[in-house]
Amino acid sequence: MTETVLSVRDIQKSYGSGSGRFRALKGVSLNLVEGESLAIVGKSGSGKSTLLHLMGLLDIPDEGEILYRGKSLSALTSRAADTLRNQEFGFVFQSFHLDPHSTVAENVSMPLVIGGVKKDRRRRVIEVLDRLGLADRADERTSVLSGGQKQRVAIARAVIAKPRILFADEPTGALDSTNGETVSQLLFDLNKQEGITLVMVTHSPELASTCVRQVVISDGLLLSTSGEGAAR
Amino acid sequence: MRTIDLLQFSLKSAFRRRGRAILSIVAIVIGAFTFTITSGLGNGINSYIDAQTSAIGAENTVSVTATSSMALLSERFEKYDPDLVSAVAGTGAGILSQSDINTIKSTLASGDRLITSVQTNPQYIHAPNGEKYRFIYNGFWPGKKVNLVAGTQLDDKNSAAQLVVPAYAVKPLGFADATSAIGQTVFVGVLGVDGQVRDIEAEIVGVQQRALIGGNLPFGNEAFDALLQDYSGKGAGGAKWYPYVLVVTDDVERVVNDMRDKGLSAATAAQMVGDSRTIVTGILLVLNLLAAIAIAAAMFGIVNTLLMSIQERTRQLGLFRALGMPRRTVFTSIALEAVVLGLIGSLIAVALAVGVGLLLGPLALEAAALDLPGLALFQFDAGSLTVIVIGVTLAATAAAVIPAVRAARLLPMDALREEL
Repeated sequence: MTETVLSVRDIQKSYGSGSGRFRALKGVSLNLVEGESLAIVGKSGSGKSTLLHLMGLLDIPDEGEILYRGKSLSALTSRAADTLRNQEFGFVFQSFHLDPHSTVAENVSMPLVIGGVKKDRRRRVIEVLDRLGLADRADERTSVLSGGQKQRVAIARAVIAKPRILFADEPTGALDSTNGETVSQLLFDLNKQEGITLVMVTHSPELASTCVRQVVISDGLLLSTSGEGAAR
Repeated sequence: MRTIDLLQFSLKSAFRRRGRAILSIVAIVIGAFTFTITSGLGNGINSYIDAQTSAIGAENTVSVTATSSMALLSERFEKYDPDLVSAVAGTGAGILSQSDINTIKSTLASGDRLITSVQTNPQYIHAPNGEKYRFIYNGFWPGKKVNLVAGTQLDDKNSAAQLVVPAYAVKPLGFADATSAIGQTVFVGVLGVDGQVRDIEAEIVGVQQRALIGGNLPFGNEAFDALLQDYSGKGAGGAKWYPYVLVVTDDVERVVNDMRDKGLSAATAAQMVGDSRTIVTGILLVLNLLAAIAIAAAMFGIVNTLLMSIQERTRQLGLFRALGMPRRTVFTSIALEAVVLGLIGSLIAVALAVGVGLLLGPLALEAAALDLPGLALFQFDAGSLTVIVIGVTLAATAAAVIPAVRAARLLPMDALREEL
């Protein structure tokens, strides 16, 4: 499995305007190989999160091109990008982004609801929750869960639609070490057992080293690539 | 996203902040309630006026009189007509002479019917052996329909004299109730020009409900009217004068215009009640304006509610966008929230207004001591209620456009980054 799923070519991104203009990415190129795990590391403000968001189509680059399975995404309509995010991508955020007014099951089923899936929603939700050890909490509100449990719910939501790429932005950043361990273990299990390509932003060296490949972003530029997959 | 899921989602979002949603609904209820009450009032009063209009005369009858010499804004002298020498002076309205009648006849088209009425002088009415009461005649209107409490309408083809008397006449005439008055014979005394009083024998065929506009006086059929004219003119020699004539026509507008061209004044039954309708329409317009202001205020309330709701849910909406919810779906879901609020508000308002109108309408009439049978102060019909519900819901949806566009424009990442 050495097929490139996602390519980033010389992308640039700035925020603000005038003297307050901040160049988050100054031209970064990167290839993501099917089934690999990639860690994007760097200091805060280095542009690593921006890179992840652009790769996940959560934001639009000012310059450069992103290709998914060889197809340019800049030519994509907003609607097609939405479908891609819904069906092919999964997202895990540092601050979970769960809806506290909804139950665990409702949160997890959201990608299926948005995607218009009508059959087997409940069964699929329970299946995923069961795998993450949360099946018995399905009908509780997420506000009563612990941080670790919340992040597991977020992972369940990220993988419910069987995505090909999982984007994780500091997935263990808000968790203690024990919970962080569980969550990162889950992510790597999904990567290895399901073959889901994993891209994570982290500032934890241990977590980064668990990935097959690490790229370092500094001041909006790609500094170095290391790890087993570095040759690719 | 499936429609049912979208609806469920919007319903949940609309009531995320229950207090605020309820206040928005209350604002909508106030506006829609005012609209419904106003519309009910309009329907009630107008249908009463319509019923009264049919009591005044048939739709295809034009009443023609000479232009009043007493009119305050008269702009010309009237030529003296020797034929009018024996006309009763001081009647106010101008009186038509034989030459006027000829003029009128010359303008009529074939098919038009002219009904002339000379000055009549009915004096009293009484049942056999009963007390005499002063008789004030309501006149003869071809094709007239009155609102009856008992009996039947006048029959102009019947050669016997017939009368419809008002409900208040039943007891004085010596009858137990309206029903027992039907079929009874009464006598109407008529003063001729020769000073003799002659009695017309007439049958009571109907008893009229109390009316506001149509006149609360006795009506006669054509046979009664003919006798009345005949007896009144006894001893007048050849001269005849007419307080008014009636033209029955299929083309009311043409006749009215022709008469006015000849310097005569012409009016239809509808024109005679036109004034009251204009006043009612004016009042309703003002009330509707107030309702529109209330709705406009409610719309701003909805804009505010939705903008606040979107502000609060920026992260949630960003997440939904991240999970692949299209902009169009975001827009629709916000608009649907307004639809939900508008629909609930207007349905509550309509139910409330109908309930209040039907309960309080009769009480209000009673309190105002308005004893007008046939008048329902509030009258609601399904058509206008539906229009109100749809209209208010559309207004609410229109108010949602700006917030919905703003929500749909959110970039997933901008929304997720928002610190809240």
